Amino acid sequence: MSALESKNLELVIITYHDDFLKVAEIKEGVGSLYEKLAAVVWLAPDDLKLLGIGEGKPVELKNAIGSIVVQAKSNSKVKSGTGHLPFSLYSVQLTGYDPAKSKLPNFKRIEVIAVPAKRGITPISELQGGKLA
Amino acid sequence: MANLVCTGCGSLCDDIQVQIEENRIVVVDNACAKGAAFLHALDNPKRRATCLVNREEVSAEQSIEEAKHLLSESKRPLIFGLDNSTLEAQAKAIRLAQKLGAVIDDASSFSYGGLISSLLKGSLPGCSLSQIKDRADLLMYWGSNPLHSHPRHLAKFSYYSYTEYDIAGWLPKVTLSCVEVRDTELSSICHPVFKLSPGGDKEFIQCVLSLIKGGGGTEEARTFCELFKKSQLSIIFCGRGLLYSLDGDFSLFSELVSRLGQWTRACVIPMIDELNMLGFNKLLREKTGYINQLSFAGGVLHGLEYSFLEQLRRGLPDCVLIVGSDPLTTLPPSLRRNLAKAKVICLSSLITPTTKAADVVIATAAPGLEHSGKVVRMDGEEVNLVKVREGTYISEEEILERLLGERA
Repeated sequence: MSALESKNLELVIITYHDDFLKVAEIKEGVGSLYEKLAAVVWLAPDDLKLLGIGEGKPVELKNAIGSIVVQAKSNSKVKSGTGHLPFSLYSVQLTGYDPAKSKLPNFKRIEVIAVPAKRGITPISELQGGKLA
Repeated sequence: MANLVCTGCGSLCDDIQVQIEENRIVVVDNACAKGAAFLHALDNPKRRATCLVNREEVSAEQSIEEAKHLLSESKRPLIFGLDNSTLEAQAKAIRLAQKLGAVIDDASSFSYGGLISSLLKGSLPGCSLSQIKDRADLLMYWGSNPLHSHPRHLAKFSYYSYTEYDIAGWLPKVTLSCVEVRDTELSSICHPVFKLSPGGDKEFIQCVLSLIKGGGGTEEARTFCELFKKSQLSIIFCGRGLLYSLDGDFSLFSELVSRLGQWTRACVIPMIDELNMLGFNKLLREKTGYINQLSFAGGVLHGLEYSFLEQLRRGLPDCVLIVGSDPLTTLPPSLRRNLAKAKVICLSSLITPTTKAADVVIATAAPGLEHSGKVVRMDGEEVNLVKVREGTYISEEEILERLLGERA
């Protein structure tokens, strides 16, 4: 495996309901605090090492549906090969809906490729606003 | 202090106290962080929705007139949302859909619909939250972390509500358990915890069923069965983790609950987040026989093709009336793009990504604070919301009446 390949990591993203994020959304709307709390993926420490990125650094999560850059944080309780991401405007960028494959959109379990990001965290402003939100 | 039913989540906590001075909430007691934030947000002008047409501020009358105009011009209207509306507003919306020949659907069609349908048909046994305290001896949260989704659920209705509970220590006569794919605050206080791999719920249910039917089973399946064998009254609280893992198909789960019934009275309660999803499903079922995914274009038509998601996927609606919902924070990107092709009218009390993108926004009064009405809690109990203050906003019910042409 080349060095470049070793930095691509297949992950199953599990989304979850985060009350702190919900409170931020209610209090301030979808703004900077929402972005801070929503744009975080929790990974197994070994996976962070495999990606070759440090704690808190940006990681790109992408699949056929879309791509986001979020902050990567390590948590020893997260199983290797999975990532925990709060359900939010960020996670739905990776969510697909194809009734030929499944009745419901894959809100909770999303297959992605994780790579070290070459850009910063996806600004929340890119994910909302305007007629094409 | 005035009593209030909190509409911040599906728990509908009825012990909230608010102090109102000069028509503003100055003190909130008993509410969780989410409930308190919701109540205070309703007093924050930066968070309250305003009436808009093409993002220009207008009067309520002008926004309603524009909404009426768009709906009258529409050839394929769709009404979506209503899960946070009172029964009275839901009834008006159903009548409006009938009058317009519109498609009508709510978020249950891509969340709790399968489970609610089974409960309403009686193929899954339900029970009231008020029956749990001191009676149920097994509480199992499956794919749900109430400490985040319904922060006071454990304290008000389940584990911590038991009479014998004492913060100084107690010997519980109730078992708190959960089925989860990750470690959560809840799993840290549960025993036993059934930890599954992501999407592994179906396999786990099959394994338990195999064991019950006399086949082999894992150690976890054996432990699971032992819990129910020892129980007299078991409650399974079903969360989104379970329903998305099962892709909305509850046939295996229903069989499991039925089989568990040989040992215990096993009841199911859906952990619905919205304050009145169950109310909408019950009401629509009473009127049409179906809980969601309905079209009134030429009679009563029902099926997946009339779900909000399918309608958007096919790019069918040319005008979408969204009532008390924020689908732009939950829809997959392709569906959001298709929604943007339609004219969007949004009724909302707070500013959301959906109000920011809508062609018409009609600012609404908040149910339970600024107007009264009835809602149905996650366990099927009807709850009265009584307004505690006057407001300048119009209720959804009145707006829908005006859209129906039943009120000037």
